[in-house]
Amino acid sequence: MAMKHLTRILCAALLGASTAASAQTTIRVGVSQRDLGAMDPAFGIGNGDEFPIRQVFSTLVSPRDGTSDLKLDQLQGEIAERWEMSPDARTFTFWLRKGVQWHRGYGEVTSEDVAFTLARMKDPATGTAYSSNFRQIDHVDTPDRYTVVIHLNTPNPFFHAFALMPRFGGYIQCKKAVLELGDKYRHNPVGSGPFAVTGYEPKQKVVTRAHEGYWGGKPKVDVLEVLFLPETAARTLGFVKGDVDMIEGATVPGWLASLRKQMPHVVEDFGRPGSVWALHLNMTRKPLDDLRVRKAIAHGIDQRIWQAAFGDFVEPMYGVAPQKAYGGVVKEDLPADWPFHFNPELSKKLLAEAGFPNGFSIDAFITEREEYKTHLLIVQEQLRKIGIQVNIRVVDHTSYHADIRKDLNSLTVYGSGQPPLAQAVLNAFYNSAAIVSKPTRNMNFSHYGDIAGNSDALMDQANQETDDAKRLALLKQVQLNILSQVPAIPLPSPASAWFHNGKTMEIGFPVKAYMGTFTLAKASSKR
Amino acid sequence: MIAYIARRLLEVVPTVLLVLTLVFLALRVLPGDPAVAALGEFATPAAIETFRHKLGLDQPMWRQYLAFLSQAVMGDFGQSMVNGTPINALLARSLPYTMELAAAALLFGMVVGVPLGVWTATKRDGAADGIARIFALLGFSLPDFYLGVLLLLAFSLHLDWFPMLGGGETFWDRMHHLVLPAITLGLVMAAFIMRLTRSSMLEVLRRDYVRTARGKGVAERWVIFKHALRNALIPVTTGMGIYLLTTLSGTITVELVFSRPGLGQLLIGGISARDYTMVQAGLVVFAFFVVVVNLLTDLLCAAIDPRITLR
Repeated sequence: MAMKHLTRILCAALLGASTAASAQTTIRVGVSQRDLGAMDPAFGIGNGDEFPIRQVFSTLVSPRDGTSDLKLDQLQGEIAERWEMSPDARTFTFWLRKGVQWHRGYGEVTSEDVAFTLARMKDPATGTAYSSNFRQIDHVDTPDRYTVVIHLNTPNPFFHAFALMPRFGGYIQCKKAVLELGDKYRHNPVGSGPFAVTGYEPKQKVVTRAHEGYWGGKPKVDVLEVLFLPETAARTLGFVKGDVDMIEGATVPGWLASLRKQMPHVVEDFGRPGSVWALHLNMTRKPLDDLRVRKAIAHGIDQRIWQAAFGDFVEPMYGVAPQKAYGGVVKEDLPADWPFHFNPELSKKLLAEAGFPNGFSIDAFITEREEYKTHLLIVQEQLRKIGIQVNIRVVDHTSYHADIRKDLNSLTVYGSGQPPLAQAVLNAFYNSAAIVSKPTRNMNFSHYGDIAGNSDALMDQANQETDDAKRLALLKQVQLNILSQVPAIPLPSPASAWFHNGKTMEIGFPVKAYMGTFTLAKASSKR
Repeated sequence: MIAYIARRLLEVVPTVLLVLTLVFLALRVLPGDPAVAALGEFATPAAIETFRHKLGLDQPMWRQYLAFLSQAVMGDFGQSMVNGTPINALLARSLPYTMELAAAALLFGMVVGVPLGVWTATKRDGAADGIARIFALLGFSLPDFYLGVLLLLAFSLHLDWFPMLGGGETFWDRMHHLVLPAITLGLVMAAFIMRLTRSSMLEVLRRDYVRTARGKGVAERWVIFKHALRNALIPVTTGMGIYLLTTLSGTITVELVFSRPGLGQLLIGGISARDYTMVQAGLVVFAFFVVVVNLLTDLLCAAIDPRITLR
C-alpha cells in the first residue's frame, strides 16, 4: 500500500499535475477501431468514426435522446426547430433555428449550408459511401436564410430516416469550412455539435472540447476524448481500472459475464434494434437452387444457440430486420408453416426428398473477423447434425467483402448496421437491382428477385405508402413473402453493446438506441 | 574504420532498394482493396472508383511503383491511403516510442542477463544455477502478449503502480509508461542473454589462459571479469545483435497489448486497412533497422575483440 501511495505521489510530482488541470472534467471513451478513418461525415464509417462525428456535428432532426424512433412526428429538432412533410411525401420543409453557431468562429448555420451538404452528399464525385441515400433528392430550395425545402423525385415518407439522421451521412456540414479546409476537413472538421475537435493523435485518440455556443446549451463535460483501443484485453482492463469511462463491448462468449463480475457498478447500454445479420444462400448455385434444400437448412438452425453463447448481446430475429426496427416482424406474425422453426427431423426429411438422403457438402469462405467467423462456425456445427458439411475457408476481411460482391460465395454471412427500418434492409438485400452481379449491385447475395420470386413492386409500394398502418402491413407482407422462399436465414441480431462506469459518469438519459445516434451533450462526470 | 562504415552504408543501398521493391510487390499481391477497406460496406461502385482514382490505384503497376520509389528515395512516404495523414509525421511520432521500447528491453536484458549468466556459470549445477535456468525457461516459454497481460493485471490493475494505456507524453510520464512493456519484452531478452553468457563463460573458464591466471594467483573476481568475461562477451554481442532484430519484431505485439502508439500499431493498422503507403513505410523502416543493427553489431564486436579487423 505504501509503495502504491509513493508511486502515485512521485508520479503526480513528476507529471507536474496542476490544480487547473484537475478542475476540468473529462470523459474518456474507448472504441474498438484501430484508428480514425475520417471525421468528415461524408467519409466516416465504423463506430470509431461515427462516435466522434456524432459529438461534433448536428443533424436537422434526430430520434429523441437514446431512442430509435424514426417517425417524423416523434423526432426532436436539432438544427431544425420545426419541419413538415407534404401529403404526397415528395417535399420536406425544414425551418432552421436562428443563431446556431459553427465551431471555431465559422459563423451561423444557414440554409445555404444545408443545401450545400445535401448536394455534396448526393454528388458521386464526392466519393461518399452514403450517396445512394441522397439519390432521391430532385432539388433543394432555400427561400430564405432559415428555410430549406427538399423535393424528392419519388414519394418517400421515410426519406429523413435514410438521409437526414445520425450515422448514415445526415450531418449538416459547414460550407465555408469544407471549401476552405479541403482534405484537412477529414481530421479537423468544423461542426455545430456539442463538442469541437481540438486534436487528433493518430492511432491514439481524438480530443474534443465542449462547444460554448452549442444550440442545446454548453455540455456539462469540458473535454471528451475518444481513444482507439482495438485490443479487447487492453480496452477492458483500462475500463475496469477506471482509465476509461465508457467502452465498446466485445462480442466474445463469456466476456460480459466476466465484466459483470469484475465491475458490479457497470451500466450496460444495449442499443436496439441491433445490427442486421443473415446467412445468405446463393440460389444460383446447386443445390441451393432447390427450395427443399434451403428449407432444410433453415429448419436445421436453432437461434437459441446464439442466445446461450452471447446472452443479452443478441435477440432472435424473425424477419429481415430486427424485431424493434420499424416494420420488423415479431414472433406473433409468423405463420404455422414458417420454415425457420427449428426442426432437424424435418430438415433430414426435406433433404431426402431433394435427393440428398445422406446430406451433402458445400464450400464457403468467411472473413477472419471474429464476429463473422463465429456465426458461420455455429451454423457449420448445426448443419453437420443434419448431414450438411460446410467446408470453411478463412480469408482476410477486405478480400471477403470484395469477393462476396463478385458473387463468389455460396453461403455468405453478412452483418451491417442499417437504419432501423425494414424497408432499408429490404432495399439493400432483397431488391433485384441490389443483386451482387449487377451494375446497380448492393448486398443482394441470394439473387432473390431474379430467382424464387420478386417483390420489387411491393417494396416500392411500401416505400411510397403514406398511410402508416398500410405501410406496416405491406412491409410485413413483403418480408413473409420473401422469407417463405428462404433466400437467407436471419441470424440473431447483436445489440450495440456499450458499457459505462456508473461510478465515474452518467449519460443523462437511458440508452436504448445505437451508440453514435445520440450525443453526450447531457453527460456528466462524477470524478 | 570510417572507410569500412562508408562501404557498409553503401552496401545498404541495394538492400533497401530490394526491400522497397519486394514490399511494393508483396502488398499488391495480397488480396483486398484499400478502397473497399477505407469506404466500408455501404460504398457504391462509383465511390470506390472515385477513391481509387484519387489515390492513383487505377494507374498501371509500373507507374505506381515509380511514384512510390521516387518518393521513398526522397524520404517522403506520402500520405496514409485510408485517412490522408502524412506518413512522415506518423513515423516521426511513432518511431521514438518503438525505439525507446527496444532500447529499454535491450538494456533490461543486458542488465539482468549478463550478470545472471556470469553468476550461474560460476555456480554451475548449484541451486542458484537451477533457479536461474528455470527463469530462462520461463522467459523463453511465456508468450510476450500473455506476459504483458499478466503484468498489466498485477502491477497496473491491482497494485496501480503503473499506467495501463498509451505511451505517455512528458519524459517522466513516458518512462513510467515504459516500465511494464520493457520488462515484458526484456524478460525474453534477459533469458536469452543469460543462457548465452552462461554457456560462453563456461567455455571460456575452461581455457588455458584462465587456468594460467588462476595458477598465477590472480584474484578470482579479476579472473572472471578481466580475463573471462571480456572474451565471453564476443559471442554474446553477436547473439544480442541477432536477437535485437527479434526484439524489434516483438515490439509490435507488446505495443498492441499496452496500446503504445509505436510503429507496430502503424503496421498492424496499415495491414488490416490495406493502407499500402503506411505498410510500405513501416516495413522500409524496419528493414533499415535490421541493416543498421547488423552494422552496429559488427562494429561492436571489433571494439570488444582487437583481433577482429574490419575490412
